[in-house]
Amino acid sequence: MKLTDMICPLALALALGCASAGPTPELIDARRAYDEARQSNAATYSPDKLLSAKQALERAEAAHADSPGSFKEQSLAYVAQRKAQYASVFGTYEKDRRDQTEAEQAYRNKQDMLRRNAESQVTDAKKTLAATWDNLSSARREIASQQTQIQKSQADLNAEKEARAKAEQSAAAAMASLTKIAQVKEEQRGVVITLDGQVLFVTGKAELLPIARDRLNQVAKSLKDLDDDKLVSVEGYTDSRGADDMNLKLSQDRATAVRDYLLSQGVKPEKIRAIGRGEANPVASNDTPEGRANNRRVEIVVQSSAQAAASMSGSSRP
Amino acid sequence: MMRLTASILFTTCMIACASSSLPPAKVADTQSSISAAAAVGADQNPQAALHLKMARDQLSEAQSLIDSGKNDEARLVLERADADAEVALMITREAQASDGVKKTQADVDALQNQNQ
Repeated sequence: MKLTDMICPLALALALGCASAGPTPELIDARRAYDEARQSNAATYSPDKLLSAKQALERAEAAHADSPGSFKEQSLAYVAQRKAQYASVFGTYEKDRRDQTEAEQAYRNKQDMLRRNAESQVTDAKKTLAATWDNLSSARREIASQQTQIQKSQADLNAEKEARAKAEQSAAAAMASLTKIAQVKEEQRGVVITLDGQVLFVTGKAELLPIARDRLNQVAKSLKDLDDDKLVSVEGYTDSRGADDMNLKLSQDRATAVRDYLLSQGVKPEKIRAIGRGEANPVASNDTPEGRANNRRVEIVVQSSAQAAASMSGSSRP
Repeated sequence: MMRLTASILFTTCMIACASSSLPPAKVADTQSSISAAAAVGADQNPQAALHLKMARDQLSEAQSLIDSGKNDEARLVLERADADAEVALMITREAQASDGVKKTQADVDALQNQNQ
């Protein structure tokens, strides 16, 4: 194009036979300026200004063709040079404006991104805070519930202690009252309450006397207060007079009678058993009336389960 | 020889065109182009200031030509003045736009750095 643009006016000038009249310096400048403008941003951003520059150059070329070296040629070439310069600068200006728009958009995007980042950081922080707060609250509730639990356990423990103390107290009281009506001894096989046979039964029979009921009521009362792991065996004994088998039966019947009565007074059946031991294990001599009276007896043995197991396995006792 | 011919042609043209009047609006247009360039600060930009000066000088030259009744020459000189004033205006605006772009890009970079 550049070459063509150069050639056209030259050809025109030659055609007119003006070989001696070359273009004015202004026209040369204008042509160069127009070429530069075509290479500039004007081609992309201000084609209309470039077109104006082209038209101005054409006017100058025409003036050159009409009257080479004329003031008109000079002036129009001058104007064409300025129009080309204007187009170039305008192209740069338009590019600047686009760059400005892009930079402003980039700025806004950046700002938006920063804002979104900040917002998301705030949101995250709020979430973390809320989660921490929840954890704290649930930890507090947990602690409160544990404290309540501890207080309750403490209260339960206190109540249990109190109940145990009370039970022990009443057991001790019952035992104390028992000692008034019976002999109470702590032996290896357990606590042995010995009741005088004469007070309990009609002579030679297994029938309880009325007075026996009063005493057995007290015994029943103290047995009811016993711990659950305690077992009771009611053991009947006779003196050595009479036949052995008769004595054994009588002692069994009497033990059974005592057990039945105790059951009727509320002692639990699974805790109590009756055993007849006849004339075995005398506690005194059978040669004297006092000794024989002592041997006619009912022993109520209160045992722990361990003691019961030991007395069951060992057939003989001290 | 050719130059002489051209001069004769030119003179002929000048005589022929002497009757064509120069509308006062043309002078006013050029004056307003110069004012517009000055208004955007063309005097503060060395390159623009040069063109503005040329525009002003040519305007006063045109005025003299008009006063001398050389309207056709005056018309051409006014066209030159006008072209210079427009170039002065555009150089100034382009420089300002370019500064604006640099400033905005610097702002973007500043934001970028702030982000890091």
